[in-house]
Amino acid sequence: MKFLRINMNDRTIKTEKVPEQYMGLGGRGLTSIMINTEVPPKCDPLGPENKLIVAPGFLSGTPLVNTSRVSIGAKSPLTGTIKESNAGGTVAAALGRLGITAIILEGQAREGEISFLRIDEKGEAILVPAQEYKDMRTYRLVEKILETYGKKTSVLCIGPAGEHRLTAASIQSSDIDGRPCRAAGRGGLGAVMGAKGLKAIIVDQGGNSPDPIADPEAFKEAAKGVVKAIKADPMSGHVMPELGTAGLVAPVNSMGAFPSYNARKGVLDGWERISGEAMAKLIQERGGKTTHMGCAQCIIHCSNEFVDKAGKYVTSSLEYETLWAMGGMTGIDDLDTIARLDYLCDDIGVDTMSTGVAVAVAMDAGYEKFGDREAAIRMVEEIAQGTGFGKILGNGPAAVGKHFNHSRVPVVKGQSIAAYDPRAMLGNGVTFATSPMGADHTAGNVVGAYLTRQLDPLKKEGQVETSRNLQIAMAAADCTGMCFMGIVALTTPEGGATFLSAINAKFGTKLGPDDIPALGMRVLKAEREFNKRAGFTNQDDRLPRFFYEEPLPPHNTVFTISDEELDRTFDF
Amino acid sequence: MKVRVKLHGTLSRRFPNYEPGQGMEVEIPEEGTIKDLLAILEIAESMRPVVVLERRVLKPDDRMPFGSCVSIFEPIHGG
Repeated sequence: MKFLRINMNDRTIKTEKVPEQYMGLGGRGLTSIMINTEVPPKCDPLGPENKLIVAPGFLSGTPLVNTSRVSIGAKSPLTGTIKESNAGGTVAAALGRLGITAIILEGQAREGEISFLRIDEKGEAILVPAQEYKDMRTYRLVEKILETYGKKTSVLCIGPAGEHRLTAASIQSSDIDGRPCRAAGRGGLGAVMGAKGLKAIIVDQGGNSPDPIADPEAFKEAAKGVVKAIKADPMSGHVMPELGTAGLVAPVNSMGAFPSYNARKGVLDGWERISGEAMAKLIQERGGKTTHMGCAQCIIHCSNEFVDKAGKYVTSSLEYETLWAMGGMTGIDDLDTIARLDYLCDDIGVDTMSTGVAVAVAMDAGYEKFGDREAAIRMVEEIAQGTGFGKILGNGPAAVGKHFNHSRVPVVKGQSIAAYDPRAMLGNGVTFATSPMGADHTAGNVVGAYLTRQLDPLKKEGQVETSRNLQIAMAAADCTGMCFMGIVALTTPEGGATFLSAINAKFGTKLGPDDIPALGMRVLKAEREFNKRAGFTNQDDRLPRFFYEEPLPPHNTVFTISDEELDRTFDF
Repeated sequence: MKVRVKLHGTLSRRFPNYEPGQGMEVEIPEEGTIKDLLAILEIAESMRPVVVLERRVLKPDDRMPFGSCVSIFEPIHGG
């Protein structure tokens, strides 16, 4: 249990014991509570007062399966709010095995100076000058890093977009195969890393000094139960390995809630061509991988490897949200184009969702036509080239809307919505409007409640309560390091009890079922408090006007949750 | 009566002659329900199938209108 504090002003590195106030926290809980405590809320997100905090989940580094999520937090340059974005890959487990609870990056390097932060197998950290890697794209960068430091190395890095401090810049995370294809995409945290002067965090995977497990036998038993629950669940045990998250394209289009053509329609014409089923068929025909292990200790294998007609690697993993942003929103119904765009975003280091929506806003404003494949690729390439338009695009949809004086920009607090239209899935609209992170589906995605018939997506009743409960649950889940697919499988009474047993065995605690939502509420309160001190009010918890005024075909409904109802979301 | 069914995810693999674009016709009792349809297709409730008709998710006891076309999905979440 230790923190690494890296001061980029004077390049000093301090190792410190985790202070009492942060004990028992991990992942999002740690990043958010620490930012609320240590970062001035009105600071410049790209200035020296902001901190970039990297925290594995509190179960990462243990033998428990699917605990490879790493949370990265800061004040966001995209939203101005507190931000946590989490990613899969291998770095969370590598940090956990070194007993590193968090890396805290403070201050700011001298203008133009960039470095690597290297952490070896003993947990010793050094800053290494990295000028020769300036402006390097992430795939080439990680290839070079692995050549230098060995294949058993985990990398968090930024591409040119992060170095140029573009506010849709991502932090890319290397997967099992050493590719920087996982992303902490949301909120422009890559720009914060770039502003600090850090190009990559490089962690040896050979660490063998994890935090002790308080009750190893009980932990082992609970871990077996977690495996059983994940394997038994139809989604994590069967659907995810076959289709991955892309399997959502069909049901969400069938429900008329797939925001298409910059959210002008709820169904993409020809969505069948970019569905999970179509993608799996194409990948199989070309000899790619429809089932792929992307993250350390994963037993679900929801990832895929998309290949071209010659069977050559294009990207991994092509996910639902990217298929939507680069396909549905832009009207592009071609998997090869979407895969190319996904690769480009990972390589340049920008969020696929914000970038896809930014392209869609430009198309909606008449800059290019919906469905123009070449234009979309050209526009995204401009981000890396650093052209004037590329910089606007790399700053996300709100910047593009402002540039074109175009008001149809589907963002909340500056961050784009995800692949669930608020007019056809009201509860997702509640989450987008009220999440402390700006529009963020991972904060409390209601689609599962609709598909399991717990809630009617078009009726107001129950939407605020469901969003609230999910936001609380996700704020707690994001502390653990367990991936979302695993969390869903553990929502049965038996699964939940087993997971709680694992947490108690790790810490030697006697937490009960009520303590989990209590943790989620603590995290959300800290996030809301930060935002309030940064100047945000309830008036910021609103969707753009067009969601209230412009009916969405085919349901032809608008967002009907009132401001007063939205303001009750955090009544706890 | 006959209804048309479109199968998604891996469900279509259960029926070797299934045509993805067309779907398949299934004979169900008059005033048959979703539960009846799933039983005929041997899709167990434990698989948590999702049945959608005209953009709405149906419940097991909902009746199938004559000539309707439903889509059936496997459980999925996230993104």
